[in-house]
Amino acid sequence: MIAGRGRQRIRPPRRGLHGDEVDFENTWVTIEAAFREIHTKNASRLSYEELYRHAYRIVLKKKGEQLYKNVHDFEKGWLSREVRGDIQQLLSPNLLAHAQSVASTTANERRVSGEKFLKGLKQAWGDHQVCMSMLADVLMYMDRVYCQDHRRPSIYTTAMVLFRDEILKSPLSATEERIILGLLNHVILEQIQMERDGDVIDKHLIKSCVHMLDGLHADDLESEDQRLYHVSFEKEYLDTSRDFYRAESELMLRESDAGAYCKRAKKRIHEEEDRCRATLMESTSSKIREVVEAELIQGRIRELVEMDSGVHFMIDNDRLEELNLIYDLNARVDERKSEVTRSIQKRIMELGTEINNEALAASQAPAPAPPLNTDGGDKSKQAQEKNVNLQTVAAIKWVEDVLGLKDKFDRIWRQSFESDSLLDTAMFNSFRDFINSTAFPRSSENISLFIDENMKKGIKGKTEMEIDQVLDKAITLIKYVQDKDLFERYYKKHLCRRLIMNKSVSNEVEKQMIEKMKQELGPSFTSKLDAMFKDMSISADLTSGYKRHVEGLGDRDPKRIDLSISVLTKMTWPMESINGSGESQEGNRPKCNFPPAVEKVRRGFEQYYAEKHSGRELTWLPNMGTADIKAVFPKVPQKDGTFKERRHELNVSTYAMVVLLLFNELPADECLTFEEIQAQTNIPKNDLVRNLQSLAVAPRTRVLLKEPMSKEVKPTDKFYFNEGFKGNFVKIKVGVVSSGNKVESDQQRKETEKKNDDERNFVIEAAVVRIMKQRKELPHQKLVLETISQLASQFKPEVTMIKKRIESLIEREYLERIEGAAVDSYRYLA
Amino acid sequence: MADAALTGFVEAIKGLLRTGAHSDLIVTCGGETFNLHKNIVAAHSEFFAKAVTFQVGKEAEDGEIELPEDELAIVKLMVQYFYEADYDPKFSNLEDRLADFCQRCGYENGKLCSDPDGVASHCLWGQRQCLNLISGDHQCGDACRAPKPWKKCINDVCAVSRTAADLITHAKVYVLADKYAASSLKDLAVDKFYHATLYWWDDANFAVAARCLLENTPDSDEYIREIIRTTLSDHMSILKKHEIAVLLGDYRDLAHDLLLERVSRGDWDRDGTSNEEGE
Repeated sequence: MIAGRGRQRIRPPRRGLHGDEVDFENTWVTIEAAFREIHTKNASRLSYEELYRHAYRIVLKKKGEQLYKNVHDFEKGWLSREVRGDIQQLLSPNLLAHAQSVASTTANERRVSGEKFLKGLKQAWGDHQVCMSMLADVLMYMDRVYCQDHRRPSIYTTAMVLFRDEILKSPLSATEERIILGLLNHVILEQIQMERDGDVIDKHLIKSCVHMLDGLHADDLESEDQRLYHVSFEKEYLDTSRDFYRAESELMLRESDAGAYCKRAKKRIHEEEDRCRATLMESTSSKIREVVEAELIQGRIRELVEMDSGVHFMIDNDRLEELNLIYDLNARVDERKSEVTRSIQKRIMELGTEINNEALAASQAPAPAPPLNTDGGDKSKQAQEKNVNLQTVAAIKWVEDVLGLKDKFDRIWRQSFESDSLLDTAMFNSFRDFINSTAFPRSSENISLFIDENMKKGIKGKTEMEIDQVLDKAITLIKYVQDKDLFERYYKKHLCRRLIMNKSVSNEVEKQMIEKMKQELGPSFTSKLDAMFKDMSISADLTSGYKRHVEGLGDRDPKRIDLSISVLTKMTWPMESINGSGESQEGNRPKCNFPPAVEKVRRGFEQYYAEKHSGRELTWLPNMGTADIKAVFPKVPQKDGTFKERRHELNVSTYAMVVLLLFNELPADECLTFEEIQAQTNIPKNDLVRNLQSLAVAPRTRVLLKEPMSKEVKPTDKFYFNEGFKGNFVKIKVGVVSSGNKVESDQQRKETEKKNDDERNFVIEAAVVRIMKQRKELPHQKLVLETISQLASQFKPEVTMIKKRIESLIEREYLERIEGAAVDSYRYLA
Repeated sequence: MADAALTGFVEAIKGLLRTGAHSDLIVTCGGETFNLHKNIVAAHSEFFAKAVTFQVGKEAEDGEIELPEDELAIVKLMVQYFYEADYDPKFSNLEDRLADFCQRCGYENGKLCSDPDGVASHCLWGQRQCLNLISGDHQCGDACRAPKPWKKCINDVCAVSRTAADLITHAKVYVLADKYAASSLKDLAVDKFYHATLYWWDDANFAVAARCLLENTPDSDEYIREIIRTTLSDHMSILKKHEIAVLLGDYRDLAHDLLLERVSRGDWDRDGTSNEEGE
């Protein structure tokens, strides 16, 4: 409560205050006594108001400078006489001794005496700060007026500088040259070293001392980069750490394997991070990390990667964690991770080449014993087939091995390399390199065979998801293939057989595959494949349309032959595989003489087709067709003694059907020679041989008898109808040799490649002409580069091939050389 | 803050002082006792903030601060400010100001109200306009026929000081606020002092107040010195007064600065003759 509200009388100011000199000496005595009490911790019940008033009065009476100086001297005296002595007391002989050399003292002794010293220093520093903040409270008016007006540092700051000069920079003793600061650094470093060696140290204590160093500056301007911590301690810390880690890395390289080294290195890096947080300053974190990384990784990573226990070993033994460690280390010093990348690529190439070589070895395995004439015949045929099968199996194994390798490295990439995009690219390149290796020309064919195998058998009984996975695997591999045109060629060939022979498990899955290819490789890649499917569906319509047409004719002929037809567009389908490889060209294929009944059907359909599509010419491909025939064999005695007529439904090739029908006309005991059959049917010799082998040699389907009985078919061989044929089933399928998709022989592959090259010639020419038409004039180099880039999605053309095509185009006057151009250049001739 | 809220807020704080509720700090001066609040005084003054936290001081221990050498009347004003955001004499309320204004300009209060010219009804009792007028925002338009001398009065009416002795009060409050590092009180006191000089420059108290300030503030306090100098410079005639002459004699720096200021105003350095004559 305020007593007496209302206006108080204000006294007139006393005159003569101006002359009322303050008694500085006496006032200072009072202040100093209080300060001494504060420092000796004896103070209690001081009057703050009184002390403040004294100081205020002194400053107001312009004695601020003197006060400032007296306080400064007082502090200096106090620190140098009292505090310094206390600190020197803490310096036990062993502490001083090992500062020069690590003498006979034990680590524990050193730690204890070091801690004692640190504690004492921390205590002195803490006391000093507390006292000075009290003094600063009392001297507030001086700081505010005198120090500001005269640009002096505050008394607190001045006192901190005094601590630096009077304590930290003071000698250890009267006879020593070394200073306290040096010892402090040394003790802290030694404690840290103890911690690195596994001891437990008082982090908090060290942190306090570090804070002190961070709060003091080497200069008197308090510039940021002159902090004692930075100038005095940190540098020494980094230097000693560098030495330590250099030695440690040498030791570890000698004594541990790569995995252990990586673990240790990572642990060390984390330790140093923790140390900066808990014991030192965060600002040191990045600097010490650089040091550790430089010593433990930078100069060592190559050696580490290439050690016996290095990346090679880790890959082969699925050491995913270690791979992650070494990746992490590499990434720390090199954002491109060159060493790990190089090593990974090398290993992929090695393992990939191994897979390639295994596949080559399997396909070149010694052929089984050559077929003998005297041998039952079909054994050698089986053996031959077996060989081809083995090769197919090898091809599929190659694909599965490559996929396995891919899976393995994918797993490493995800789990160890943190899905690093640079490594992704590097690994992709390595896979592409070995898959497209010139030493292994079969990748395209193998991949297509793999798909073929799955389309025909592999996906049976699989769920949609599993099928999808298979398709995706195939796509993965296709993406690696550089010569997409060659792959397309094989794929078309294999697809053609699957479609015409109706071998696919599911038409839907076939279409899914095409859809996936379209997504990955673009619609131009799949346009021809699409057309094949379109032909097939049109053919289905034609077949049913024709059937309705025939029914519409009225007179129902009991002997009518059902026709199922596939009309294939000539440009879309791979004619070479349709015509039968390595045989006569399509143009001079002799026309097969069909039996009259069949010929009638053929004419009927041609007429029907001509009505629908005028101007199209149909070429019949009897070598691709099959026929179902009902065959009646004469009565033979049964087990129970009765005689019974036997009926079988034979599924045979169109050629076989033509041959068999010849025997319908023939009396039972008469025969036809090979030459006679050939003359009557006009079937190409090779085809006829293979069909007769199926009909007269293969034991289960021996509908004809051959004389003499042997594996090989000679022009003079005679054939009889086998009246005594026995079949276990009503339906019998008469297979013809090599109708499936098998691996190509070297001869075939050469032909395929040649055909592919021929087509490439056209494609290259077309590209060159397209480019020149647009550009009109272009230097040679640019034209080559642009051609390559245009064709990259199809194949990688060789430069010599492009050169030859350009030459040829010049000869044919599509282009001309520009005379006198600085660099070789061409002009387009319209 | 809305005016009502602000008033309510100040009333609440004032209540703390009036009742002494929750008091945790006693301040004594000249035999009187103030029951105060550490948080409030510490927020205003660094001195009080340190005094209540000074570890080894009896003030912190006892919760009591003795101010033996300060003048009770001034301490009371300081305390008033801590709790009211103003001290006496406050800037007067509207009625007071108007009364004062009328007196100063030679009008009787009642007379103005019935001013036949309509000036008064337009400008003084017309509430809103009056406020504008008095707070100095008045923009004279054609409709306003206020007589000339008003304008000057109007500008200063808000800071009117009732007696010349207020000069000394404000000076002393200023010195105390400086001593105890109460910066916002310092600002208020200097403002009040300045306005008081606008009226009482001719009074003998001006020299007394000026001496009090010069003596008890550091030389580096330039603003307060500028106010004293400007007052003299604006009214050079008072230099002839004895007490001013003595003041300038004691404070040569002030005399020197005054001279420089006059020169810088430009009316003294045109030629040598007037200078010589003047000296």
